[in-house]
Amino acid sequence: MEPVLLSSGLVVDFGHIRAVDGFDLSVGAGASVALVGRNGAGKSTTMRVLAGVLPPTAGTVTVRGVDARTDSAGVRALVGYCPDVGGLIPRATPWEHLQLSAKLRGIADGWQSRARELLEMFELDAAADRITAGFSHGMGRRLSVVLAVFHQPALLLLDEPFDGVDPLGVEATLRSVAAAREEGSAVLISTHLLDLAVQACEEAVVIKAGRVVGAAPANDLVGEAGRARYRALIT
Amino acid sequence: MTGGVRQLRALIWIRWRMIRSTGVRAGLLVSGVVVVALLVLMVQSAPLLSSPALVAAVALAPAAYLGFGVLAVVAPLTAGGGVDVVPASQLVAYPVRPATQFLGGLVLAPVNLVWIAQLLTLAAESTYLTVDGHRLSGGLVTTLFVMCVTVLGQAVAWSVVGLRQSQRGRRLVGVGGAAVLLCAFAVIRLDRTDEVVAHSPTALVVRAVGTRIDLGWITTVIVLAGLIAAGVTLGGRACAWALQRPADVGAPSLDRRVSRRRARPTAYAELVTTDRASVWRASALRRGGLVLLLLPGLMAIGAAISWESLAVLPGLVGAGAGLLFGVNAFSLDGSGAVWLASLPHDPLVGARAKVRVLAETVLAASVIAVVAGSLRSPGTPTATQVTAIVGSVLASCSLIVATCMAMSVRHPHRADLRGPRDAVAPPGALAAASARLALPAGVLGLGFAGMSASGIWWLPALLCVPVMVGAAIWLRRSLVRYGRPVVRAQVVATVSAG
Repeated sequence: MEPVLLSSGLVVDFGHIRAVDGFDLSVGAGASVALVGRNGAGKSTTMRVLAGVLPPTAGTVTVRGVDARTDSAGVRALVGYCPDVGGLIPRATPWEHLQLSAKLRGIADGWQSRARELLEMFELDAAADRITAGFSHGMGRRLSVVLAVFHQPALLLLDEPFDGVDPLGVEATLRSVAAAREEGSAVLISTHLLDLAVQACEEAVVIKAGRVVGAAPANDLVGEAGRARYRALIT
Repeated sequence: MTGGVRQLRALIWIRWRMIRSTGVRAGLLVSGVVVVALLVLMVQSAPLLSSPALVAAVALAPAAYLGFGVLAVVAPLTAGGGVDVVPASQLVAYPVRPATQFLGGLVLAPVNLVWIAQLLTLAAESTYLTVDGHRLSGGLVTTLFVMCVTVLGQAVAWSVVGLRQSQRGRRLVGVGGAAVLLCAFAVIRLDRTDEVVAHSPTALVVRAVGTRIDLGWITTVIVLAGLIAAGVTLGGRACAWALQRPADVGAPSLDRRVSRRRARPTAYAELVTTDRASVWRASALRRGGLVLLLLPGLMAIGAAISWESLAVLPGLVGAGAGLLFGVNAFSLDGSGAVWLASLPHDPLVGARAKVRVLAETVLAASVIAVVAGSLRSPGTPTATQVTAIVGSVLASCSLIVATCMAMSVRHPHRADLRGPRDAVAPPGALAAASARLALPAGVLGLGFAGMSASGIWWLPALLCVPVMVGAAIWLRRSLVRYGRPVVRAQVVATVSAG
C-alpha cells in the first residue's frame, strides 16, 4: 500500500546554510511517527516543507501520491499543520480561525458541530470568542492542535504540540492523535519531549543536522537504556 | 535620569546592531546628513527671498510655530506615549526604567518625516525673522522651543496614557478631547483662527526669535530652558506612573471577547473581514486611524484651503494612511501567517484581500480630508477644479497602495501590534517609508493643483489615467512576485518570526 507521506532526498538551504540535508521518510495510513532531535536539528524546517509552507531546495514530497512541487495546494488540502510557534492570527478569535479554515478548505456548512466539539475537548469553548493575542502560550498551542485536526486531514503534522501545555491539554492532544490514527490519518509529531513522543507514537525517527540518523520503535527509547541510545544518536 | 541615559545608550546600540543591512545603516546616516544640509540650505537661502515674499513668510511664522507645538503633542499621543527604541515586549526580562523609555521616545521623535518637515519650516521661519542679522540668538530660541514642545508633548502624552487606565480617567480624557475639538471647531466657525494664533504662547516665542537680545529674549530663553528641565523630570515621572498604574476592568485589553459574526460567502470576503478586524482591533492602528480621519480634516477646515490647493491634500493624507499598516501589510497575520500558508487556497487571494483593506483605508482618509477641507473652500469649484481633486484622490490612492504593497513584499518586518506603542515597522524603516510615500504623492498633488488652475477640465484626467495604469502594473508585479513560493516563504517567515 502506498504510504500517506513519502519524503525523499529533501534538501532545504537558507543561503549558504543547509537546514535539511537529504531527509527521507515514509509514514503509512494510521501510523504515527515522532520526529525527535536537538534544537536546530532541522525538525521545524522539515515540518514546514511537509506542510507546504516552505518550498524545498531539492528532493520530493508526496502526500497520498500528490506531489508538493507540482500541486502544493493539493498537498495542503490533505495536511493539517500545527506550527511550532504561535500559528494564530493575533487579533482573530478561535471561532473566526475555524470559520476561515472552513471557508478556505471549502468545508460545507455543518462544520460548526465538530468545531464546538473540538473546542470543548480542548477546553477552549469558553474562550471561543476571545481574541487570541490575549491567550496564554498553552491555550495557543491547544488551539493550534484544534485547527490542525479540524478537517480530519490525511496527514497530521504537529510541531511541538505539547510545549507549555498543561496535563489536560496533553491528554486532549493524545486523544486527538489516537482518533486521527483510527480514521486512517498518518501522524508526524515533532517534539523534544521524549516521554510524550513515546506515548503518542509507535515509531521514533531521530534527526540531526537535517538528516535522519536513526529510527527505532518508540518504546525502545524508554528507560535508561533507551535514553542512552537516544543521547548517542543526537550527540 | 543618569541611569536612564546609560540604559538608553545601550538600547540605541542594540537597536543599531539589529539593523542587519549595511545599506539601511548607510541610508539612515545619509538621511541625517541630508537633513543637516537642508537646514543649512534654508538658512543660507533666506536673504535671497524678495521683500514681499519675506513679509508674507514672516506673517506665517506664528502659525508655523503653533503648528509645530500641536504636532509635538499629537504625535506622541498617537503613538501611545512615544515610540519605543526597542519594542517593550522584547524587554520584559530586563530592568528598563520608565525614564529610559521616556528619553527613548524623545530621541526617536525626530525620526519622523512630518517632524523633520516642520523643523525645516521653523528653521526657514527663524531665518526670515532674523534676516537683519541676529541669527544666532533667534536660532537659539527656535532650538529651545523645538526641544521644549517635544519634551512637553511627550509628558502630556504619557499623562494621558496614565489617566486612561481608569474609567474616570478615560471619561476625563474623552471629555477633554471633545472639548478641544469643539473649541477648535468654534474657532474655525467664528473665523477667529488669526486671533487665536496671535494670542497663543508661541506668539511670544516668535517675538523673541525676531528681536535682539533684550530682557524679553532673556526671559523667553530662561522660561523655555526651565520648561525643558521640568518637562524631562515630570515626563519621566508621568511615564513611570502610566506604566505602573494597573488598568481597571474596562481598560482596552487584548483579553477581550468580541461578538460572533456570520461566515462570509467566499474565501476572499472571509479574508477581507479578518484583515479589517486585524486593523480595527489593534489599539495602535485604531488610534492612528482615528487621528488620521479627524486631524487632517479639521486642519483643512481651519485653513479654508482654496479649491486649487485642495488637490494636494489626498496624497499627503493617503500617505499617512498607508503608514498605518500598508507598508507592512502581511504583518496583520502575525504568527498566523504560517498557519494561513498551510491552508489550501490561492495565496494571491490573501494578498488581494490586503490590497482591498489598504485601498479602503487610504481612500476613506483621503475622501474625508477632501470633503472636510471643501466645507470652507471659498466660492464654487469649476469643472477643472473638481476633476483635479477627483483625479488627485484616485491617482494618489493608486500610487500609495502600489508603493505599500511593493514594500510589504520586498521589505517585510515582524510586527506584534499587541501594545499601544507597537508600530508596523522599526522607526527608521517607517521614516524611510514615509518619505517614499509622501514625496511622490506630494509631487503628484502639486501637479493636479497646477492643472486645476489651467481651466481645461480634461487635463487632470490625462495625468490621472497613466498614473493609475502605472500603479496597477506595479501592483500586479508585486503580487506576481508574492506569488513565487520562495518570496512568499520569506515574507511568511519574517512576519511570523518570534
